[in-house]
Amino acid sequence: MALLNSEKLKKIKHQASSALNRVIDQHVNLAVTGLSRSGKTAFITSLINQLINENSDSKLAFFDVVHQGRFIAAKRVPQKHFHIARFDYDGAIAMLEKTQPSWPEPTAGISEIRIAIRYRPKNSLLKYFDEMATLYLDITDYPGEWLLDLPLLNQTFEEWSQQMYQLLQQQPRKQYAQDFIAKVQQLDPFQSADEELLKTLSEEYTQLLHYFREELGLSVIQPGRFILPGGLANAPILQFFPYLNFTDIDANAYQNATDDSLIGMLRARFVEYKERVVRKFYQQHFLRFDRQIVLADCLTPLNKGIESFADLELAINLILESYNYGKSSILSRLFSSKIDKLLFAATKADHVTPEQHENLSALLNQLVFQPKQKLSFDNLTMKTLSIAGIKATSSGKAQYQGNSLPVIKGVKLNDQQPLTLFPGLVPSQLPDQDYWQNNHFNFVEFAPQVKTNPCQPLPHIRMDQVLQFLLGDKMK
Amino acid sequence: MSASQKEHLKEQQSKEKLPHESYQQQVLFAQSEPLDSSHPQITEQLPAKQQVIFDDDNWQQDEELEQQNRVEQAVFTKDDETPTKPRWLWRIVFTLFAVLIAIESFDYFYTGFTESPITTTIVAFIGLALTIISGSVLLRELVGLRQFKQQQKIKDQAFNLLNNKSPNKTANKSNKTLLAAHQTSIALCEQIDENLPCDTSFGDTKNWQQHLQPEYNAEEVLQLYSRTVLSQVDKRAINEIAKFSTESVVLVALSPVALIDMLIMLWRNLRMIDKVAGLYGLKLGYWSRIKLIKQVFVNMVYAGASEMLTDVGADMLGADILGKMSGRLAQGLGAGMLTARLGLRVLKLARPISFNCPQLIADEPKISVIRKAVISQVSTLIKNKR
Repeated sequence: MALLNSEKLKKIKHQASSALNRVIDQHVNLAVTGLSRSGKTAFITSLINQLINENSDSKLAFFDVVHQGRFIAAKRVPQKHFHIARFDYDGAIAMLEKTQPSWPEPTAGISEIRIAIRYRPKNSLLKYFDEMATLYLDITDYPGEWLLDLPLLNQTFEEWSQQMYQLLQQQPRKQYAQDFIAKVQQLDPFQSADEELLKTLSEEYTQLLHYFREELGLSVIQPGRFILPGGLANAPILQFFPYLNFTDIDANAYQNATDDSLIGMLRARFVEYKERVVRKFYQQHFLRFDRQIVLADCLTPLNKGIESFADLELAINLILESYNYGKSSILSRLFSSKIDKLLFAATKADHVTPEQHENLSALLNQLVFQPKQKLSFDNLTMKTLSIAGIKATSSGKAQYQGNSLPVIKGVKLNDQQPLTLFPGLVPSQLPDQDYWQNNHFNFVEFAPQVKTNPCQPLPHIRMDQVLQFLLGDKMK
Repeated sequence: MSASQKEHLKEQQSKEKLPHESYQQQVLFAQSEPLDSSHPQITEQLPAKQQVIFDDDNWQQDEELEQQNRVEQAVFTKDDETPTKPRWLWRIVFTLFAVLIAIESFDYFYTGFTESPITTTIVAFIGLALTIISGSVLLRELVGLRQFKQQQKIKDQAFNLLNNKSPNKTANKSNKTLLAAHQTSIALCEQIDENLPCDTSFGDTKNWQQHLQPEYNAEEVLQLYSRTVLSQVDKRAINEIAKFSTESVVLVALSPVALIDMLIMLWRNLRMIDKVAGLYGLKLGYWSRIKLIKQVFVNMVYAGASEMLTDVGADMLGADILGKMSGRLAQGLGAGMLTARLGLRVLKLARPISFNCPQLIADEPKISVIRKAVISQVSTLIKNKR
């Protein structure tokens, strides 16, 4: 009798391969960020939907694994970090599947979801071990506003206050901030601190930030947690504001001010905010990401005008500084991000006609041009795409003054009426003064399309290219 | 949005054929804006430049339109060819020569039929048969050459569409060209598809059309076509190349004389060139084959030492294993690899969308694939013998 019969051998082989498989399972930590209302939730919902609903109707021709027929299936699995909120995929899908579909609820804080993807490896070392390989994809969603806080780490309270003061003195913020500036300037910085006063004033400041963000469409909002507190609401750590009268006070007196005085308390809370909130976020989350996608809505600022657009530019620059720790910076010693792929996506591409997509990505490309150069130097792979996570319109042509004009058709978000329109030209270069004088662009927000078949994946624009860029190299 | 920006349009002849030239016309909206020369790409090209709202009846789905546009575009691109006109002097020479031949033959037959009718009749028949034969050969050659040229043109066009995108260049691209490029690229793919042998491509073409979305730009359309349809053809071509390479390995290994080696190589390689080109829809005549072979060799020289070095290095590795079995087999393997490399060159030249752009470079077939196939085929052959 042979020592090992073939049955036994097979069993051993199987056990060995499954053990090995457990060892060599791959992980990708994908971070999704973007300023609020840039379409993060819709993007993640669509990304998950494309993966777990993959079937013959999927339009994922540019995603190699699917295209080559090596994709087996994907499913949701329990996430790794239990203390972080779960991304509400079911809620989002429920919203989209209603008879009158609406966009999913925006997320206010950080959330996570994990997907396991099974595929057949083709080229990599894995194929020698097993027929199947699993890739675990951790998607983390966090507000881009939180990234805007990073520059605070390099600033003192005095520097930050002065920067905010300058910002508040400029149009379009100036006229709305007048009251607040006056109130702060009346304060005696060395009086003993009154917590109630700080609270009311910081609430006023938060109101102001909300107004800037929502009504004026501005992007540079500091501190980011004020409008997206994510569990810190009403904590004293969020009750401070920039002191706007630094030119009038004595530097020595400021240095010697105790934490009981008004300015001392503001300073103490600012420092605490930096340490407890900003630095903690980077240490806990930012460090473990290895793929990042930055979503940007270029259309709303185009609608709102020159100030809003300039603000977007500034915000993107600030956000990208997070990835740009120079060798000399103190930060580089604290955090060395291991992100190796970075995707910039201009969202809401379905809100303009198809031939404008290239202009849209060209525009975003120019917005990120400066930081991109620096990042390329650090050997980061980058790409710009114009995408739509969930396509809300269909494109076609219509007769206009006897000529055919490309148009899009959808259901308007505010009154649920069907609408066919040509929204105007997207500039392919950063718009200059002339453009804003003859501003022709006016885009209308659409509601998602009614989903006819729940088994079918959501309609999308270029999500397959997003997947290929972010995951393609891991699924060879 | 202001009321003036909105305008509901009356139902217009929506089902009428769309005039293709209409994009070139500039149409401004109600309140006319001063034209600004610093914004050429914004003010021109599209019939409207700001928001326009439409009635529902005016709507035409893109998929329906695509068909129309394809037809128009295809016609348009075919008309575009400018025939190369012969020079005047040559024309005169040719006409005079033809007239001379006509007069001479008329003279010959006129006198011949009266003097020796039988001989002249035979000569006449021979002459007729020769004319028919040479005429048909000439025609075939001309068709082949024409097709070859057309393929080259398609290739150039596809190359241009795929490669003129860099962030700075897009900025200068007008909207009109963007709009037209999408249609041109689709028409181009259809044109390529017509040339492909229908049994190889039918299912894949359907697949391509299914995946085609109106949002895709020219690049993406071509990339998609290359991935769904041409990649299948590539697979077949690689199988063919592997087959021919194996054959030359075996034949060279078996043949005792060097001269026969050379003849075998020539014969197999010519057959392979025909086959591979045929898969991509090129029916080669004599001259077009000569042209292709010339290109293949020029290409091989230009491909340069670097590729040769890596390839040969890898080949040696492969050959070494078999070389231990038999010196002659190793020699055959060397010949086989040469065939494989030639086959790959032909594949790259005959493929209507070249791999020569960043998006497609990853799909480029490597010689290692063929080498593996050849080695496995040869080793199974040897095993079976034993």
